[in-house]
Amino acid sequence: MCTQEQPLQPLKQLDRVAQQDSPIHRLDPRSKIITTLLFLLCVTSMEPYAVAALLPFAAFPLMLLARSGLSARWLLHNVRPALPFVLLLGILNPFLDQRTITLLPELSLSAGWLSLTSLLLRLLLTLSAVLLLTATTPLPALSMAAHHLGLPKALLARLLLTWHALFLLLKESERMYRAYTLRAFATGYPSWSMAARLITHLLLRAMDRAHRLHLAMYARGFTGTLPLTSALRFRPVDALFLLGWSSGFLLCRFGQPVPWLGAWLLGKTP
Amino acid sequence: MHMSDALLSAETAATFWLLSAGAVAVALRRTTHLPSSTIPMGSVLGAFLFAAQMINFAIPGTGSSGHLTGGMLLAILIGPYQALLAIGAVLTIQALFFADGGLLALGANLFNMGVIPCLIVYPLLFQPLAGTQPQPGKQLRVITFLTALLALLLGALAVVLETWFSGLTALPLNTFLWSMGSIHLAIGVVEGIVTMTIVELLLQARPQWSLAPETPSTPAWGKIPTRLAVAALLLATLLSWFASSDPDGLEWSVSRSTSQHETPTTASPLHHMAANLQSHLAPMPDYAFPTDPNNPPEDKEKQWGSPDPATSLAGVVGGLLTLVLLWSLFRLLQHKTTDKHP
Repeated sequence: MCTQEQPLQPLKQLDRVAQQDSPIHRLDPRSKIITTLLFLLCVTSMEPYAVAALLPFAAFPLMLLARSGLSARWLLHNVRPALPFVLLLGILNPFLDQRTITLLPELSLSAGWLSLTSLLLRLLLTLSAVLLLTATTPLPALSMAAHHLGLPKALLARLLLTWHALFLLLKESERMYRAYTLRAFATGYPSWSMAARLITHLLLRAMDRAHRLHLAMYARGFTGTLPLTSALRFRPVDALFLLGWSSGFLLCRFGQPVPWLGAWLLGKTP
Repeated sequence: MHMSDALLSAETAATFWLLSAGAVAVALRRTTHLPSSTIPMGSVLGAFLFAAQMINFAIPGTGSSGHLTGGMLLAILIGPYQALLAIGAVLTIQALFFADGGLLALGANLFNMGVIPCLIVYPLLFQPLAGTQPQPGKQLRVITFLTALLALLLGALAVVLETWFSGLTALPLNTFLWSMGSIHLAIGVVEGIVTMTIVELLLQARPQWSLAPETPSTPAWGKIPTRLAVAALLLATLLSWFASSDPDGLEWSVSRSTSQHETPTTASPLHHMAANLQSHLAPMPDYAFPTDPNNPPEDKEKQWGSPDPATSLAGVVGGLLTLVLLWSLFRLLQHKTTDKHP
C-alpha cells in the first residue's frame, strides 16, 4: 500500500502536549508570544557569520524544554522536516565563499563553513522556540492572546474554525486515501488525474461540511465572530518572564557575552 | 516552497510582514460586507487545502512526487480576498504546528503563496481574461492552467529574491534563479493541470457553483490608475515648484570637469541645426513660458517653493503628452494584434 503523509498524529500529539500542566504552560500566552517574537528578531538579525554569538540564545529553548517537561528527542524529531530545504540552500556556502576568517591566532576557517554553521544554528534555534511555544500553549489560548495583542476578531474566527476543520478534513483525507489504495492495489503515488479526482471529492465533501457547519453555527446565533469567553490574567511572574528574557536577548544581540565570559574566566579584560 | 525563519534576515522578514499585513487588511475590508456563511466556507476550504496537500501525486517523467499548492484554486473557487485570508490561516497553523515556515517568515510565505496568486495574478490576469463570472469551457481551462502555473513561478521567484536580499546563502542569483525556475516550471505545469481538472470536475458535479462569488465589480487594482493619475497631477502642478534649482548630476559633473555651467556642444552643423530646430519647436523651453528674444524679462532671483504657473503647466502638458503618446502606441499595437487574430 502506498503511503500518504500522515500529519494527523503529530497534530493530535502536539495538541495533547499543549494541554499539559507545567510552569511554562501556566504562563500568560501574551508574554510567551512577545518573548518568542523578540527572540526570533534577535536571532535573525545577527550577522551571517555569527556562530559563537548565537550560542547564548540556546538558553531560551533549553529552559523552555527543561521546564515544560518535553523531551529533546521530540523536539529534534519535529525540527527535522525543515532541515533539507535549508541545507539545500546553504550546502554550497563552503564552496562558494572561500574567504578565510581568522578566529584565533592559530585557527582560521573558511567563511562558507561559518555561514553554513550559522544557518543551521539559526534553524535549530528559531524552530525550537516556535515549536516550544505551541507545545506549551493550546491554539485557542494563542489566538486569544493574539487577539489581545491586536489580531482582528474576524481573523481570529477564521483561524479557530480552520483549526477545528483541519482535524475533520485530515481524517476525511486519510480515509479517502486508504480506500483508494485498498481498491486500486496501488504501490506508488497516484497519477495526477487520479489525484485530481480524489482532491475534487475531498473538495465537494468539504463544501458540504462547511454548509452544515454554518447552519449549525447560525442556529446558535453566529453572526461572523466567535464569542470570546476565557479571560487572560497577566501575573507578576509573566512580567518577570517577559522582562528577564527580553533583556537577556537584547544583551546577547547588542553585547558580547561570550568574549566577556571568556575574558572573565581567564582573568583578562576583553 | 515554505521559507523558514533561518533563511531570512530580520529586515527582509519585517518588510514582507508589513506587505502581507497590508494585503490582509485590504482583504478583511473587502470581505466585511459578505454574509456570515462565507466565514465557515473560507475556513473549511482553507483546511481542505491543507488536507489536499497531503495527497501526493507522481510527477510524470521525473520519478518524483508533488502536491497541490492551491493558491489559485482557492482564489478561483471563493474569490481572491476570502482565499487570501484562508491561506493566511493555513500558513499560520503550518508555521506553528508543523515547523513548516516560521513566525517571522509568515509574512514572506503569505506573500509568496497568498498575495501573489490572490492579489496579483488573479486580478491582473485571471479576472480580465475570464471575466467576473467565469463560464466553464476550453477558455476557462486554458486560463486556469496558465494562471496557476504563473502564480507558482512568481512564488518561486519571490523565494529566490527574498533569500538573496537576506544574504545568508552564498548561492549566486543567476544559478539560484535558474535552478528554482526550472524545477518549479515542471511542478507548475502539474499544478496547472491539476487545478484546471479540479475546477472542471467541480463544475460538472456542481454546475450551480458560482466561481469567485465575492469578487467586486471593480478589482482591487481598478482604482489604482485613477489614484496614480491624481498623484501625478499633484506632483506636476504643486510639488514641481519645490524642484531643486541646483544642477543635475550630469550638469554638475560637466561643470566640475570643464568649469562650464552648460553641457558643451560640438560645433558641427548637424548640432547647430538640431539646436535651432529645438528652440523653434519647444513651446516651453526650460519649463518656462517662451520669451521675446528682443525683449528679455528681468532676471529675478526665484525663491524656492514659490508658486510658478509655468512650471506647473509644463508638468501637466508634458505628463498628458506622454500619456497620449503611450495610449496611441498601445492602441496601435492592439489593433495589429486584433487584425492578425480576428
